[in-house]
Amino acid sequence: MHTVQNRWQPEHGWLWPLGERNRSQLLLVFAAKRLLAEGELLRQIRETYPSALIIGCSTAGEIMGRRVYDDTLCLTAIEFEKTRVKGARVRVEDAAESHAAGRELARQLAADDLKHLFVLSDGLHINGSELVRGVTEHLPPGVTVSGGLSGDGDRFEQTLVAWGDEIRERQISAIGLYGEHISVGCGSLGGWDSFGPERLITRASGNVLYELDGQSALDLYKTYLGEHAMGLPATGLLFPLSLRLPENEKPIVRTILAVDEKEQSMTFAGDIPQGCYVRLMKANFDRLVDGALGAAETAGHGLRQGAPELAILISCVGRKLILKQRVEEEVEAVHEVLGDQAVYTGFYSYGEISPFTPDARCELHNQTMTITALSER
Amino acid sequence: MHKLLTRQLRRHLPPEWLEKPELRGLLEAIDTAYAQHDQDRTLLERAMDLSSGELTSANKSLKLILDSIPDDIYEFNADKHVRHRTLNNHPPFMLCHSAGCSGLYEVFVQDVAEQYDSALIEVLRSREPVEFEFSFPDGDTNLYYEARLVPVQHDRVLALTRDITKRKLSEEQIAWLAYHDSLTGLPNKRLFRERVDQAIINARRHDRKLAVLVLDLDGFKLINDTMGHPVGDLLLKEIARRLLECLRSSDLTEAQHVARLGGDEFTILFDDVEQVAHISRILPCITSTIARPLLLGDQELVISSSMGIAVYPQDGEDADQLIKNADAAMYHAKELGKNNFQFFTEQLNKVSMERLLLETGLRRALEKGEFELYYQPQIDLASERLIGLEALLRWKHPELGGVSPNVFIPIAEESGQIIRIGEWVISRAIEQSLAWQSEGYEPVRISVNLSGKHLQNHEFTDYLVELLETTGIDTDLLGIEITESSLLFNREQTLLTLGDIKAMNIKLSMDDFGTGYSSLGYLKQFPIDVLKIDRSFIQDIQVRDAETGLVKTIIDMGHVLGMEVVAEGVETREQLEYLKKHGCDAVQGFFFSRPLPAAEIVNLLHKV
Repeated sequence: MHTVQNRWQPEHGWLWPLGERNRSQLLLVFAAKRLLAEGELLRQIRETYPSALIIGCSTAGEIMGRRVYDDTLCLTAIEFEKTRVKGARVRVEDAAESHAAGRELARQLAADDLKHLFVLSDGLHINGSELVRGVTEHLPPGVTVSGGLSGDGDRFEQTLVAWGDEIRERQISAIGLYGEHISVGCGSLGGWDSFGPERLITRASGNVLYELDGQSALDLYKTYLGEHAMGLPATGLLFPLSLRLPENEKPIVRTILAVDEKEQSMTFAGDIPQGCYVRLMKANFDRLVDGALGAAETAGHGLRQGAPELAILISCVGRKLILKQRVEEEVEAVHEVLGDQAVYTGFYSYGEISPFTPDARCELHNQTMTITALSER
Repeated sequence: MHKLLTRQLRRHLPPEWLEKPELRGLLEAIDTAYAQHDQDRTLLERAMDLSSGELTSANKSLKLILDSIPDDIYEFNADKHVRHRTLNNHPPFMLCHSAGCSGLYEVFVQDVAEQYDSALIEVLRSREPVEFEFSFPDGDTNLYYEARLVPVQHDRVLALTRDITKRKLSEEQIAWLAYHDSLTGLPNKRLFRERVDQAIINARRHDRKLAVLVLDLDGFKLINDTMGHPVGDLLLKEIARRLLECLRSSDLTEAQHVARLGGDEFTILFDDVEQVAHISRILPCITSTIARPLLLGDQELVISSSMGIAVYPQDGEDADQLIKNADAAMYHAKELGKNNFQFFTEQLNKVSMERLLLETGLRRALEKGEFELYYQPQIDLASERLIGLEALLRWKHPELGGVSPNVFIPIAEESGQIIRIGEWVISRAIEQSLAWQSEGYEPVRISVNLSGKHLQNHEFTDYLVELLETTGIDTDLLGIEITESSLLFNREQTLLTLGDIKAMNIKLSMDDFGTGYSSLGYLKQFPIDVLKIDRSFIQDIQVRDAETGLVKTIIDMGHVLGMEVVAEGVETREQLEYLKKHGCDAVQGFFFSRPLPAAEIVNLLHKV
């Protein structure tokens, strides 16, 4: 596997001229929504890499090397030596189609030697839990799935997904990695602490929450946020929900995507099942960074052969909002574990897709650092 | 710039450094970090405040719930010390209520503490809940508690203790009621039956006899009907008390062997009878005890009893058989004039079988058309002309042949079938009367006999009115005969029914006069038209009446009260002459004609 990276910044343009390794089969593009929406940069990339499979998405921050950037476009061109890559794309009208969309992607990419599925999805018009359920429903055991929901800074207005130079809302792109030479490790960890009383979900539908303990959930958030309530939905990420599902021992973290003042409702990135219990969570700086470290260890162990050559870091926008200037500490922690020989890319997302551990079921996460480590033999 | 940063810079850096443009970027970053830190801290502090407030109020409501639970809740640690407890109650087994004492044996009295102790050990060992019940004396009674110990966390136990005294008492009460009669407190039939069965097992083992006595009060129903159920209940309680008293003074059986079977039936088990004759020793005691006058409220009553006795093994092999046969013997005692006792015999068994046969036969008799009316003429003494017919019911049983009304009427009355039978009699008589008229015979009044049950039945009048309307018969052609005893029960309803009958212009006769209990007062109260002197007086006319003048007096009395007087059972010319001489109005009897079926009586009727 050979990998090159480039970055475009408004003040400097491209870091170096485009065009190296132009036989790459796969290009990963993570960019600020504005830059992606303009389309010009993607056209340039397309021209330079005419035969490559290009997927990408808008973000709430781009990760490249040890740094976290805002308002840039980060490009990673990957040239596999023996591994086959295939892409697929679906478009959805609304969140109700999430499950079917996932199933369709899996159908298009299924093959006997499929090893891994990497998914980039619209971040606002999708029920991430349903999407993941659809993707994984008929996958044979041993095929791993990872990916993330695209972001839009802390604005939560519009997210974009790239499929070649088609850049759209309500789009989901995915690639499949095939053959025995590719090895993939996944890990995902949060590092948030629950606090306060356990609350019963008394009214919810799909991923829309109305009431906790018979009272408006939105009001509860506003009370806790105080003057930060003005910044909803972004500031809602400061208090994600820890959700206890009956079938899972380990609670899942759910994070807020949108609020609807008229309906007095909050939309989350995944299911909020009525009758389950949730607790508010708060950040703990050290534990957030430890979480990233833990995720890296899991992903590293997951690689059954060799050292990681490429690491795709997808971390939640909520972590970035909390860590602020210290956000790079979590990227550095990943470096400490996976080493300097690997190439690092990734983005801050509205939702992460990964199993907690290599053997667990793939799930939609929030507020985690999710790492996909690749190595080709 | 952040206050802290400003202060730090002033303290640690020369002022001119602050103007250096190279430092501006760094300082701005530090400033932002400080400010963000403050913001984050404020947000988290606020969140902690809010959630601790929420938890406090949740705790408060939990405490309210705990405090309102009637149970006492203790939390023990592994050293068997009470760590927390609710103070809802102060159960009497608690030695110390203060928070200062916490050791198991300091908090509870020894006996209770020991039980908790072993339960605690068990819960800590097994990590499973343990329940036990215990009692604690409280004055003369016991208080009952239920304790439930549940493991919590790894080394603590929650003990919930509930006062279950009320539940225990009502369980005992329910258990007692299942085997006792609540009115008298005596064992009920169920318990009695179990005791008899147990006694039979013992008797069989030791080759002994035992006896079951069934006692029924004579005329109890009359007392209940006339004086009301509360008086009846008082009477039953008093009888129960007297039976116990009687048995206590005897060495034949134990007081616990008396039971109430139901209604006014009592029963006694003699479980160790050497010779059956020995039972007879106690019977006079029972008879005289019960016959002692008793005062109920302000009324004095005397009541007698009839008893039947069945003996194991000859009269039955189990409790049910013995009770049934003692019952049959008791009925036999009643038939023999009450106020006596009878042993069960095989003969009696036959009688009771026959009675059963009659009872079931009666149910079918109407449908199968086994009833028939016979008619006996009533003759005017002055003119010696036929003035009426008395309709008499005959039953031809398919197996037993003709059954006497004296036998089947009481059974019909007891089983309630008399109502339908009586209705059949009236409608059949009217039908016959109308048939004769249409055949061209001179109309003649037919009298039918009604039971007291008809008079007490408030629907009977409706039936009669409807019957008269549908048949259109002249009410002058219908007479109703009643006996004195039928007037004894439910006077108000009886008077109402009689008034209704009178209002329909139907002639009312008092049948069998002189054999019952009626007084002059009764006769005056009821709207009677005809007095029928009982046949027993007529039979005695030649022997006695010449001296006593009893029949003459009855005739005179009847006339004084404005009634016609009819003599029943006239068989001889002498009787007839005597009655004629003393002004009797009419007669019936074999002298003129025995009761005849309709087909034969028609010969006595006149064509118009």
